[in-house]
Amino acid sequence: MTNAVQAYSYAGPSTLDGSGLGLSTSGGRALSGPAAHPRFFSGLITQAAPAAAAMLGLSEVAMTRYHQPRPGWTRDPVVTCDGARLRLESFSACGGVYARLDLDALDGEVLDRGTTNVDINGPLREALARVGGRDPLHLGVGPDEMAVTTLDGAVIEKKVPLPDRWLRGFAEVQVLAAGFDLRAELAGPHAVRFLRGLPRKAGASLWLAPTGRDLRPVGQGARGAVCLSGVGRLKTLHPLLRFAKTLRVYGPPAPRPEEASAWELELPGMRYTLVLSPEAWRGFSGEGAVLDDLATDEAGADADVLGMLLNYEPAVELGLLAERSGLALPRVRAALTQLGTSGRVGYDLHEAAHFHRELPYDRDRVAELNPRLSAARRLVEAGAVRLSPGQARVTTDGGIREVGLADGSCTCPWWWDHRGSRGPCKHVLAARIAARQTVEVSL
Amino acid sequence: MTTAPEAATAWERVRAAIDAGDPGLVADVVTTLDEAGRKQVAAELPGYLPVARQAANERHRLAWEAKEKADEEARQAFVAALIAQGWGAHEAHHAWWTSDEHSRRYDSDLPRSDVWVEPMRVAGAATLGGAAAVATWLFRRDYNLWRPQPETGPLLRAIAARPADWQADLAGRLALRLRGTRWNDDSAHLALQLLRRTGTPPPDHEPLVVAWVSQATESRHDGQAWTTPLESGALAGDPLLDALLPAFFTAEGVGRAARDSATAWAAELHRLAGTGRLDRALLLDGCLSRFLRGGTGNDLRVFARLHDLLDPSPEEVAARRRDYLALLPAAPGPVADLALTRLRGVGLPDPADFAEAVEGLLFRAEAKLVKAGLGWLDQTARAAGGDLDHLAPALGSAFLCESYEVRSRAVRLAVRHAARFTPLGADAVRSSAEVLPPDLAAEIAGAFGEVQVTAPEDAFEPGTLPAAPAPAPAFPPPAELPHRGGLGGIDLERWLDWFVREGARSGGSGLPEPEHEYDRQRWAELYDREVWDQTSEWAEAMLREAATPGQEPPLPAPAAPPRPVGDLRRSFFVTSTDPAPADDPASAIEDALAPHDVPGVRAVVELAGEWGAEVRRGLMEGLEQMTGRREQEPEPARDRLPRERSVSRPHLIMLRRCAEVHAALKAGTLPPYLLATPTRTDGHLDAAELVTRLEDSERTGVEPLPLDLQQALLRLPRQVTTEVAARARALTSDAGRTLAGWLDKRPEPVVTVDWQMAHGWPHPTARITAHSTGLDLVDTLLSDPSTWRDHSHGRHMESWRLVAPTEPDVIAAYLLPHLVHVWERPYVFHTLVGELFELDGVPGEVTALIVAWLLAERAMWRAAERGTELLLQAAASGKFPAAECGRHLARVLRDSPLRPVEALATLEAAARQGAHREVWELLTGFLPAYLPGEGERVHSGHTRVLEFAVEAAAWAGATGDLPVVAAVAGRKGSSGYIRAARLLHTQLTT
Repeated sequence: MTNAVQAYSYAGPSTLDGSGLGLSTSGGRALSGPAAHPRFFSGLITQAAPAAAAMLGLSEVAMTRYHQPRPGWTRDPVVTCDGARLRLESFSACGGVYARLDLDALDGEVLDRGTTNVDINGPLREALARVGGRDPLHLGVGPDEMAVTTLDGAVIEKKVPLPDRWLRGFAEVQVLAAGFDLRAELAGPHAVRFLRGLPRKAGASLWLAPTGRDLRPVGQGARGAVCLSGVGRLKTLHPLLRFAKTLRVYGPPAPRPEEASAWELELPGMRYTLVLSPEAWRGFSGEGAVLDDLATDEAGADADVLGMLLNYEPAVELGLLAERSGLALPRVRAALTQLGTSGRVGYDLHEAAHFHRELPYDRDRVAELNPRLSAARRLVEAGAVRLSPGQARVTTDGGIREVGLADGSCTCPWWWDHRGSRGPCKHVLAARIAARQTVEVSL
Repeated sequence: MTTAPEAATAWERVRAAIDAGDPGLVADVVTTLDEAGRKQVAAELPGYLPVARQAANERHRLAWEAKEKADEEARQAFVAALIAQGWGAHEAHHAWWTSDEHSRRYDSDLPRSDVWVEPMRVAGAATLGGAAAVATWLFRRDYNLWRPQPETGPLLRAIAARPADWQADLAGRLALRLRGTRWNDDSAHLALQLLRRTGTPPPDHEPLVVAWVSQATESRHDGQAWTTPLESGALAGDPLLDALLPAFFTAEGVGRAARDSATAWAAELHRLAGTGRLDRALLLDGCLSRFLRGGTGNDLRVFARLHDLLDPSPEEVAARRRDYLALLPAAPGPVADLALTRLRGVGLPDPADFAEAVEGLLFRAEAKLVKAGLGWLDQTARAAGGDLDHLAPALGSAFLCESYEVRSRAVRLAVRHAARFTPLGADAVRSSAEVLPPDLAAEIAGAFGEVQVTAPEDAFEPGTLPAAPAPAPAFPPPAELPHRGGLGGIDLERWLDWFVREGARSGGSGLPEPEHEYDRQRWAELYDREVWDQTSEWAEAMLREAATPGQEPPLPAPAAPPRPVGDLRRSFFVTSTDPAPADDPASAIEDALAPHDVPGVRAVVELAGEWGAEVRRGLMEGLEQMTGRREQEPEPARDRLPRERSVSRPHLIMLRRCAEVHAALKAGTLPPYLLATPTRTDGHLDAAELVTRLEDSERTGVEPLPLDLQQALLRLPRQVTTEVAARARALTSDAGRTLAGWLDKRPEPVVTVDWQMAHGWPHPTARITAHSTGLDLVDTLLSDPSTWRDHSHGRHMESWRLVAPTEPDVIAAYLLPHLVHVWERPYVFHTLVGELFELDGVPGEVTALIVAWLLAERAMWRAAERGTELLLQAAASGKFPAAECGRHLARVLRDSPLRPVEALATLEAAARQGAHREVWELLTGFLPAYLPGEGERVHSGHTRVLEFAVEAAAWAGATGDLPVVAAVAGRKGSSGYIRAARLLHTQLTT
């Protein structure tokens, strides 16, 4: 496994002094194009106390290894501005907990739309903890104009390792969440009672099903139940309970022995969501949720088409996207999965819709996270594919593979082992990409 | 050791020192090198890594071999000496392993195989060019530094010889290499030591701070005693103290590293602040800043202790009032608590601050903090004029507190100020009162208007019980089944049926050669084994006898000489389930043996003190026989059957039946078929069928096999038709009369449980009482099961119910010794217990106890689900002794480490899946036995049980008073326990 390094470069630390919260940005993309320190928003947070508490929760998730806790690297949260709200996302160091704050309680000017990293530091956390309910809080995402003009190379650099496992989990959690259904909805007081009544042991796991207005423990895998694996991973919800209006719980449709789950706390003017991996020791990467959709041969090209149509909208409307791209709905869905795995869309459970955001990491690297597809592309680029009617011959280091284009068969050992049960092999993918290119060229 | 001659090159001298494995010597040599010499060594070193490692490994191997040889010689000499003194060979060998000589040799030190590592590091540190190269060299993977090197002195000496700025560079680089996850090498020690020596400002790197904190609590010997830098006061003089102290409060991981030394750290920092060495304000601000950054209570412990020791003055607190205030809503309990204490001391003059504090406190989960918040809330309400609507949400959150006392206080407060809420505010209070228990909700309703009580919120929908088990299918026809893998249950009966009908005559399809070497050897040695305790062995013997009659050699005569004590001792290493206290057996044994001076007796006597009474009795008998005090009992006829106590009785019965068929085959008296072959797969034998079989044997003049007949009787149903009974009475043979007698008066065993404790762990044993029938097999089965249990017990457990398919509790009595030994019983244990409910008879006390235990047990995978399934299966059978099970559950929960919370979870799951009536019935047996009696303390488990009973009673629609509940409900007080009892009592009686 390669362990790349992420270098954050901030114009200065994020600060909170008086009533002004200035979030420093590093890299990322905006509508106006890539930027070193993009500026997205300047205005007021109308619900200061819950917003500050939720940001602390996000930063705690980013800092924590829930499985075998120990201090380690912290990767800064990612902020997306879609013109209507700010979405702040963070992913735990263990790769098993994803947290997002959808901040709607904003009143101000959107300067641009896009995604970037924001700096969260110790003094800022202290200051956030001091934020009370009565003060309005001014928020600036990106260096303010004054700072931009007076920037004299005051740059904060942080380098952290960015393991594939972490990055892939961050991207894939979106795809996994897209398959979740709402399982329970608890009103504020019931949510408080439920969360306070959970076992104290952080590693405890239980299955819960709605009964009346509460959630109660039930037997493993009961119908309509959600799996809460590692109770301690919900810890960041507790300080937010005093603002909680509703707790919604999501889970996958058909429960297996262990399952992922999502916990969404509705706060005044914002939502705080946690997605937990199936077990505390398992991260999200390698959950395999994506393979079905990725196996469709068009997904890559479709994703490229859709990728160009995305515009940092608050919610991606499938119908509209299908209409604009001229693709059928199933293909749009598959392409969104593809975009999800490459970190280009997120999924909002409450709105049951994708949203556009580009993870502000090395773009090529994120795209490479699907090794089979990347390998297929490399084969095509290297001219390893020779097409003949209904067939293709792909030259690899291990010899020549014969690909049947109609049935997607191959003579490679991998295909021999799996027979399509894990999707097409890289040779079939390469042959299909090459075949499509030929058609396009001849057109 | 060889020393290189003076004329040797620099590298040769260094290499000789490395080969000597002495880092000190290497340091001596390398520090005297000139620039050219250093360069030469630096160039040679990397290539020498594999050579040095190989040489050290070889030296280690040779030393190890030499030690092994010496050990073996010593062992042989030791054993020979003991044998010469009259010891038995086994005893003498055994004595070696516990001898001082052995442990002395075991502990002796060998040269470490990594002796080459430190010399190489020292040589590199002194000679390699750049500091970066040395930082890499010191922690190369080749060194495999899985344990710290014993001494870093030579390494530091070698580094000290380098230029100062070079050393500073290295110190910084080593510090930055530290990670929070690597603690097994000396990198932290080295980095800190170099930073101190060179006076380099430490880099801003959190793992360095954590390493510094950890090192301050490492014990070291200062020449007089073991002490830590914290205890010895060395911290004050630590040059890193001032530079690293600010980061002590900000670096992640410090709280965790100082968890176990929180008191020492806090005391030392407080002391240094007192002497003026440290700035008190810095410490105080640091603590507050750390609290604000968050963390668990454990990780913040050191800061909380320090804060308490600093004991900030009211002025200091007032200056930081805002910070303390911010801690109230979300900090861990102990931290919020200390913030509250400080704020109380200085007060909150700003009404806005005050309101914020109240809100923060009332949203806490901790009763103590909520109570404080309520006090302040009352104060605010009295002080301020106007409406109190803004306080409604805070009051609402106080209603959520778990403590009843706090909730009732919140309710009283709300009622007191009810007039000051506008209709809007009153609505808010009313809606948040929905979560209150009914009595408190009623108080709110009195002052604020109707409150929707949430009691019926639990929309209980009973599931459907699994269908009652269908009658077992008809018994399959006889068949030749592969026997070598083991024959049990139905397979054994089918096989026996086949063998008697066909196999014995045709010899079967021949005996194939076993495929695997292990099997081949095992079956080749069949006749060498004196005891056949597996059905497969008997089946193999029968097939061989059928194929080649008379091939079994006669059993050898028993070995005559008296057994030496050594063997005796070994043969009593068994697990006893008998916990009866000793009546000084050791001295009795000692007396018995005194005149004989047998070596090893002392050990036997000591061990005997720990064994159960039955073992000791056996030991005494053996010793008395050996020492001539008791006549040797005549050797019973040898038959290859295991002794009665060494296997479980149902298993023995299976073996005895096999032995009977085997003997009949050899004697040529094998009947044409067996009487006991069941007619259903649950072991049931149709009485009419048995009568037909006996009529047939009377007609043909065949004498039935006695054990076969007895087994057939045990399989008969409890009820037979008068017509069948009349046919049975008409039989004239002995066997026929036995059958008629059985139908007339079959034994009715009474199975009870004897509950005993041993070493804090319950040892329930079963007692079986039945009138004697004169039928050997029946009487054996229906007598008290052995209290013994060792690894040879419990075999073929899945077949036991076929031995007595109408006596589930008898089978349960034989399962009982295995119950508490979770890890030694088969995984299917739950299933076997569940199957007892499918048998013809009615399960009783022992089955109830086993179910009760399994409800609460959580040791195995899916234990909770399997407990629930078992309860559902029992409920579905309609034969579940629920109240009995409840009584035993109370006993289990009182006397074993199993916990009520687990049992309740299982009961709730079962109730929701359709067993709600049975669960309530169980509780009616459970509550009187579990709830505390006179003089016993009430704990939260009792309250939880009553709360669950309230729910379960509602689900089952139960009515009718329970005296034990009524008694508690009638007491004075308002504890949760009494309130739950009152609620249950009201529910049951209205």
